[in-house]
Amino acid sequence: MGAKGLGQGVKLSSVEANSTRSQTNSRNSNIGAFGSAQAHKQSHDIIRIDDLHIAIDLKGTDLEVVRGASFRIPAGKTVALVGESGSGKSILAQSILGILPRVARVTGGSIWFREEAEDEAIDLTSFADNSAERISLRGGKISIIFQEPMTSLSPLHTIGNQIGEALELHRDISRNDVEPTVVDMLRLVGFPNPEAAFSMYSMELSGGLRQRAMIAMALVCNPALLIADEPTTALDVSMQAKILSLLKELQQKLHMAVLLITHDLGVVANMADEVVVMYHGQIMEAGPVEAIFRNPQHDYLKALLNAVPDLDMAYDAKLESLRDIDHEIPQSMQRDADERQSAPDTLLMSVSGLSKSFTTKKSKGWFGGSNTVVRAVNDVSFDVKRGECFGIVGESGCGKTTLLKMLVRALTPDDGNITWQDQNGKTDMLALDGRALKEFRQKIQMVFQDPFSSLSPRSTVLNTLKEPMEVHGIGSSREQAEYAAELMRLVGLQPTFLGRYPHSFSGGQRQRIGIARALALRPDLLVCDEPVSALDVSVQAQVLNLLKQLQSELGLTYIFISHNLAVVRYIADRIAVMFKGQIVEMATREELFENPCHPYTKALLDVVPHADLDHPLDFDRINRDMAVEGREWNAPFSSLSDGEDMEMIVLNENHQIRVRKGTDPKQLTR
Amino acid sequence: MFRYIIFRIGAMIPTLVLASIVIFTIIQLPPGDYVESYIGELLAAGESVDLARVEYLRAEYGLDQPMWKRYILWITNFVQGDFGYSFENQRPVSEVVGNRLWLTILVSFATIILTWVIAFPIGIYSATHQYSWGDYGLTFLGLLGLATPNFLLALVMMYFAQTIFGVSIGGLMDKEYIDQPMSWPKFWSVLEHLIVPTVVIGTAGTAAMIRRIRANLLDELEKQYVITARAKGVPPFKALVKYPLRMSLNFFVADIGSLLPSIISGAEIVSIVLSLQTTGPLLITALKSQDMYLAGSFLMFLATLTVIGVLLSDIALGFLDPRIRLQGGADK
Repeated sequence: MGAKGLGQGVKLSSVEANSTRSQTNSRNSNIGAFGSAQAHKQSHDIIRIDDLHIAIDLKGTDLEVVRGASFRIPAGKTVALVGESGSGKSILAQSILGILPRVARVTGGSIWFREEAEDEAIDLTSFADNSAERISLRGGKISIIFQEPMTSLSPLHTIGNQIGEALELHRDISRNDVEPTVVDMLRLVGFPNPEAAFSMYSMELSGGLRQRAMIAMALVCNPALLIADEPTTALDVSMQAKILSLLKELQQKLHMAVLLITHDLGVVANMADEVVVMYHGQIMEAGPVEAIFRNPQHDYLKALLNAVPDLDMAYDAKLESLRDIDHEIPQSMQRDADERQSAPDTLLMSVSGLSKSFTTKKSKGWFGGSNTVVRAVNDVSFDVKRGECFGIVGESGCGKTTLLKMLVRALTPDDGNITWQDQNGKTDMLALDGRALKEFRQKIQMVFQDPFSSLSPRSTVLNTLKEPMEVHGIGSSREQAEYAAELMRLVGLQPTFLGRYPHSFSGGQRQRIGIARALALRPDLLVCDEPVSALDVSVQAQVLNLLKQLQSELGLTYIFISHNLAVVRYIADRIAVMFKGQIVEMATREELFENPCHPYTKALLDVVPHADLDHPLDFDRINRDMAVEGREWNAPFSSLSDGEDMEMIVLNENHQIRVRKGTDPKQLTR
Repeated sequence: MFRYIIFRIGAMIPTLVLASIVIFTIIQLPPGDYVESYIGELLAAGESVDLARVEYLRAEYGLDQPMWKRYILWITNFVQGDFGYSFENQRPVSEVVGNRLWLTILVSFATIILTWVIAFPIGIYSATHQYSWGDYGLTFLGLLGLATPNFLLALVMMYFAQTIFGVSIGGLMDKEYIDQPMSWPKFWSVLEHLIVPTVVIGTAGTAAMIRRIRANLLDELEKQYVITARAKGVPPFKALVKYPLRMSLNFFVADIGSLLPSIISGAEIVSIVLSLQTTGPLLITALKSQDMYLAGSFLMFLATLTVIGVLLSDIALGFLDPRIRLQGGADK
């Protein structure tokens, strides 16, 4: 069968050799085939899915998760499969590979696979998942990369071992040739030091590099189809842009088809040739990307397009979430709200010179290793005014979470001051301890990123909501229960849900429970650590709108951390951009997005994918900009002496920027 | 790694000192000493006791010294390899224990091997066929094994062996070979007698191990990296052994440490029931008759083996799992 054809009898010492070979391969159907011998060949469909049904066995009853899906993946093209979590898109991809979880099975329909135009199409569903035919296709002809680069590699085996394994399984290759081929592949996917990476473990790599390693593993056998299951969802925007650019480049080099599964319409607009929209296991709309974006037909698709925050939308526009939340403010909270709203725009929290370093010990070899000091947060100062939403943007590792932990007194800073100001005067937050600190903690509460792990699976929602009050000894048990019901209504959930456990809620509902828990102590300041980044687009709009409404209705102050510029733009009044532990630019929202001044801010703005075909990412520029490791900037943005000569200067009353000391603001605003 | 091992060996010393103090104190806690229980025995037998001889015995064994002096004496001798003198057996402790040691080790090893050979396939089968009839059946058997006390199983087996097969399964060899030099018939006899004790001692351990392998493997089976391996086209069995099984073995390696002392201690109660010539019954009688050097040295020996065993598993884990950091500590 066709699965044997590729690479048989051809000794390949490098991946580059693969790609040159495959350029003369007939798979090269219409990309760059002009003038080649194969030019006359028609583009064919690598995969044709025909009325596919997949069911999950739930304790004896079948739940259909894919209900009659039909679409095609043309050779060499990118097809984007769009839908919310739970829409069945991932399980559809798993059925193509034959790696369905044990509870799921294909109940009807067929998946036709045809590697070359002249091959006989085979129905993959006619083989068992563990049949030799399917196993030889997996990783050899069809491969997959997953969303979670952190967990999709084995922590116990080296990168080289795991990538080489795919090669040994599907290629007739001698043991000695494995390492050079893998190293070549690692170089191709952009590893800075592929030889060293070969014998490294996944935990020694950053998220971006792990995803690159995954890509290398998927592509090392030069598959005809790559399934990318949310490949960039877990990554930062700049890393996302890099990975997308890499995928695009590799697709052209290796001439493979890509099935891109995503819920991010910005990614779709930049990557896809064709789009398939899935909702509740059914295909709602399918077609070329132009038609889908310029002329969406189905209501679901239209709603989805409106639910994404975008950098181009008006500043006061409201996101239209697919399902709005009705919530009510309980009387008891209204009083607090009135009190808070009586003094807007006064200083609430003032942070100055905050620093925190971590020492990481690297144990290499038998005699221990050297210590490296990482300055996670370095001389950060800002003020937060009562009633505003202060956004902090930065990529992972920039120190935003460390900063936040210090603000809630979960970490002790090495240096600096945090001052709290309210009707009782000023409080030095770092000097608090014992009872006073416990008392004070009620004023600041936190909303976490991951709605799945931030709620205890063993306690009911009622207990989760009561716990903060129990800790602080507020009210009797009955009063606490009544208040918990009010909190549920506050976030638009039924009080009858109180007896349930977190697993019976969706991600968005859990996040609302997390918000309710944070509000249980009636805090003045809510610290939100990426509260929507783990949520679907539609739910994201819903939670953002809820947060916005609660803020204005209860007069809350937010510190809102995100890596998503569009989200921060939607919710924050003032925004600080963090890079390597420092705030490099801080301005009001309009000012920051209209007149970004720092090169880092500009670079961040450039890598956000827009759900707009007329506004594509400039992949060439991203590759050029990102090629420079460590990002060297021109004067006055770079330091000559390890940061000693840098300071925040004031451009105007709304805008501050970190530059070399003594820089003239006028020089920057030209 | 090297520094870590040095540090860990250094940390063993205070641990063992503490253990020795605790062991010595506990042995001394019950009122009286060996001489007293010896006199009691003599009186019970209707013999007269010479007070001078009692005093002589006390002085001879240092029993008239204050406790801390006796402790110092015992521990300094212990460190130098002199484990003291067993009052009851009238022989040095090293000799008393040494005689039984190799049989004990034999029984223990046989048990451990049996446990692993049975538990691994069953545990893996149960995990990969979760909630199948096979899993339920094996789980039932395993829980039965876990719930049955060893000594009871020993008694039941002895009874049935006697009534149905007419053989006595007590002891570790036929009577005529005891204290005889090693020969093929003797070796064969030992092997024959080994079966029942091995099964009896191993049952509970096997059952517990099956449950742990199953639980640990189940945790890993649905992990993303296993799906990655399947998606790569790794054949099912290799994908199981190379990834999730390897990952689930950490508990097993950590357990190896606690095996070391159990090899020497030799399943006390079962050994008494089956009258095996292992060290287990020795320890029990020593504790009962306040044979303080025998009991103390024996317990100290076990403590040392425990500490060494834990160190060995920690080092093995450090080599097997690259994620394990040798220096700990998170700062706030």
